[in-house]
Amino acid sequence: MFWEQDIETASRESLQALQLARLKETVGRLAQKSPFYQEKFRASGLNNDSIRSLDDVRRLPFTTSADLRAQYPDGFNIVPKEDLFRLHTSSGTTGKPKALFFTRKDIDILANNFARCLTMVGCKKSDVFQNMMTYGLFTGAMMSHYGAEKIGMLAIPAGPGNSERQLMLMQDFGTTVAHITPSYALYYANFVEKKGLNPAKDLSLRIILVGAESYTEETRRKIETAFGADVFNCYGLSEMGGPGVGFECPAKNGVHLWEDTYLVEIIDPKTLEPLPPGETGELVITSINREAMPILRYRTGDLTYMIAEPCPCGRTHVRVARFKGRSDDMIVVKGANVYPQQIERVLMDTKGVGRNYVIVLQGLDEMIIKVELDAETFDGKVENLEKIQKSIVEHVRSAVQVKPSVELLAPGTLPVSEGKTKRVIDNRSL
Amino acid sequence: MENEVKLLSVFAENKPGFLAKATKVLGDAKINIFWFKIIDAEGDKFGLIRFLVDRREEAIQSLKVAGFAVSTVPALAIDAENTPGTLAKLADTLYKLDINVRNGSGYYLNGRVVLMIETNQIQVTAKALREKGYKILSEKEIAE
Repeated sequence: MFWEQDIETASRESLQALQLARLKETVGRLAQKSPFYQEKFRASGLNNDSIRSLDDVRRLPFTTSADLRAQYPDGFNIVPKEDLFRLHTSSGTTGKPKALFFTRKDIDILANNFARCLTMVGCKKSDVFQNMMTYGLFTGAMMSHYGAEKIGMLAIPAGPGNSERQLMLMQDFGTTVAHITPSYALYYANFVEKKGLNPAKDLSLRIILVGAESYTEETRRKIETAFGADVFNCYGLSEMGGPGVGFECPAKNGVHLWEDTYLVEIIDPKTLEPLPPGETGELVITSINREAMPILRYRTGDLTYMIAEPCPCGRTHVRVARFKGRSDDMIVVKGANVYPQQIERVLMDTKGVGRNYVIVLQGLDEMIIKVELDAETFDGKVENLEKIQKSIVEHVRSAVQVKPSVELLAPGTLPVSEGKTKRVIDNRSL
Repeated sequence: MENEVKLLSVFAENKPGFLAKATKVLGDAKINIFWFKIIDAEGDKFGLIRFLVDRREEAIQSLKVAGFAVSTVPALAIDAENTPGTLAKLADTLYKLDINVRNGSGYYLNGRVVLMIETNQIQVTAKALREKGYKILSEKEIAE
């Protein structure tokens, strides 16, 4: 199913022609109105006329997370104040957040893109959409909410947490589509089971949109099995307007990015040179259809590669593979580069452990993995618990070259946060 | 059946308050505990608590609802003589049968000795012990 079949399946040539026109327009506007980019353009000898082909995007300056913070509160805005329609901020963990402005048209474009995403995975007007993401300054819930409204689904702005109420809403209003973070999805499945219900049979969920945190294929399978629903990966970042920047189609192999809105590059994070399809590097996105604050070559920090093969779903917009991690998620333990996702993969493959874990770094480079036991498969035998521990130690060691110690916890003992779950706690005294 | 008893086995993080939490759940559900034992696992990071209770299914249900990981394991409750050498004789019998005792405990009270053992082959153990003249108690007999 398509929301806008013509543009979603447009030929590469016509997409590129549209992109070039929009990139030129964006650069022209920035050269006129953005002191931040004017300065950058001057420094690299660029002018209004520098963009002649899409390849010229490489001549444009990168924009980083630090730039956005440094320009707080409104250094990136290029429209008159009265045309601003919405302010969101990024989920900044330290210091000032990033201030993100949108005009009415900006919001409308994002909502329309999200409507494409929802339709792509099979959502219809008749669906009931329970949005379990955080409403407020965070972009995650509101943009998806507007997307659901575009389609005309019954939207329930439940927000995260309060599982008791989530369950009541799902049961009483027959929720068929949920939008949720992976850690909360796993926690919630457990919660529903504890109520003596089978989430796959006693709820009506058929589609679950899972985003805001990175997660593995194994986690997807666990959520799908628990709820008996299709899980689709939803990639977003506030800087590019929130959720639905990338979205999986029914092929469940990589996320599509809407190329009439974004110009997508993968670069080598060290040399900053572009990489061809199939080669893993950092995802860099330029917004080419944005009024209030166009951002050039934003370095997302997310590591992935472009999938060259045409997608069986028929959409022509570029696909990038499941993220390998975030370059800033990476932790260095005993000199080894470790992505939390590598550890998650081991845990999800280990029989007997549950869905929630945390990686604690302490002392002099000691890694402790705390993982909850799975109540369902627990057999009460001490030797099997020791086997689970040993298996995790060995598999993690072979995956990341660091030997962890493993603590098994009772189910439900780790906190589940309502926004993004913190998987790594670094208490090292280095 | 050779009168094996079923013990609850509850996963326990090795931290203060865990036993209190688990037993409160059982107490609130009006479950009577006949016997319990704490088993420390390697490294003392976690352990297991074994319980012999009067209403097993209800106990499991209440513990599960309260969020505990709980399962059952078979064990033998042996009514033994209160004389020197009883345990040695029992251990020797099992040794000769190549049966490994995984967990064991026992008490003497008012002239009665009860040994609780878990082995890897409960039925074989029960049969062998009965043949040697040991009395193996059923859950019903313990409750009386």
